Amino acid sequence: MDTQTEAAWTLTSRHIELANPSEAIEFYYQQGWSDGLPVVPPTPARVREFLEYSGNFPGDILGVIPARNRVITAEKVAINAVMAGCLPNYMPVIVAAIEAMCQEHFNLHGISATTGGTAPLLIVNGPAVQQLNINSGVNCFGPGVRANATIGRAIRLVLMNVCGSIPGVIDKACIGHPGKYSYCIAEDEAGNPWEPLSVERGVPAEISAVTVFAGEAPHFVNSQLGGTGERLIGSIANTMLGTVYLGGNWVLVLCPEHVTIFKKEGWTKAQIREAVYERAVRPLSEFKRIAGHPDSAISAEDAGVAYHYLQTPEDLLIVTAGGKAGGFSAVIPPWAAADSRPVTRAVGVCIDCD
Amino acid sequence: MTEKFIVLDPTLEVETTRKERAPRPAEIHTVGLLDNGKPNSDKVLKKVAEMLAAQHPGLTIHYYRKPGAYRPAPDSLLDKVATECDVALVGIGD
Repeated sequence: MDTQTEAAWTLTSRHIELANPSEAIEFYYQQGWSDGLPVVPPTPARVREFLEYSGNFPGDILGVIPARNRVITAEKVAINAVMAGCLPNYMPVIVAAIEAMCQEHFNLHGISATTGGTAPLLIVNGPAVQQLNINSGVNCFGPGVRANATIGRAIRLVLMNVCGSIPGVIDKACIGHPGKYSYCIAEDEAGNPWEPLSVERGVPAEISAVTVFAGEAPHFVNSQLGGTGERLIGSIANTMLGTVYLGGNWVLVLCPEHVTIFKKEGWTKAQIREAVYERAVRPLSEFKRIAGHPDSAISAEDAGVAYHYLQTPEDLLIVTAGGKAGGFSAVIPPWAAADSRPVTRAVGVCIDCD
Repeated sequence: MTEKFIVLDPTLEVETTRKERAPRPAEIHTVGLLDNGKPNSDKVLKKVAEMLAAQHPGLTIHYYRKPGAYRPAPDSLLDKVATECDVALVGIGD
């Protein structure tokens, strides 16, 4: 290897000498480098495996946060991915997710500092789902599957250790939510009668993609007794109406039982969006009251203004996921301030490079 | 000789340039009030402006507002405040 290439492959992070892995786990806790769970000690050899898999030089810049004067390099992402317990072949998905989160309209600085406490939700599409065994079925938001647990965790460790979103320091989340530990699912493409989310958002079907969305916790749409699409729309809208958010995108995760109902009646995604848009509405005066505005901020005219929870039907992202048994879908609200938009990024390839 | 276990630092580690505080101005003729865009920030700053005006007749007070509450102030706004004012008061609360 020539000197220049050798230099490009050098890991520049501080090397820390410890006695053994157990001591390393405690050391990382003491330094404040953990999310509260024990980390896998990141050795140089293991970090290199991750970088080799994604084809990144250590110094490759995956993103920047101008407001914090921070640069996210491939080396640092690989270190945190090792710590999370990932496998090397998860690295391309993680790289794509970081790049997506650093796009301006995602507003990474805002969503990871806010008192609102959202977490970046990762939704993975394409061949990577099978290749990496990312769960799109039973308990997809819950524990038990390495890819879901550790890819999401890698994102959180990067946010804390590289981006500085330490609770109480830059991360001012009032109460946060458990998705901040890990928030990663795959879409159930086999069970999806419509287009995959990534294809709708511009990525060719045969290319893997990750969509990042600054999301609150999932709110269950609990509808167990079969029924009609119309009733389901009502349940979905009712779940949204149980919250208070100002615009932005929403994510609707439809479980197989609910997808079956819509499919049998021939609903398209566009029709579902339009129907939810129409039903998730209340008078602006009532919205303001529920949102805690004082009477002085509520005018007489507000009673006659219809406040739609979706600014446009297209703001609703529809994802199919979940186990085959159980009528539990979910609505995932946006960051309260809504100044963050989801980003979809192809994994490992550039599909819209100039 | 015990073999050492080597691991890597996961944090940013970049040396940031040290910034010193601007020197305290000898005289203040113009004060900027930078509204961070959160609800009621305008009311708080209006009250501050009234108090300043009462205590310091002759003081020029400029009012600025961040275009969006949920994003950093753009450089152009910060440059404008720095150019037009001797000092600025910035609210960072919620």
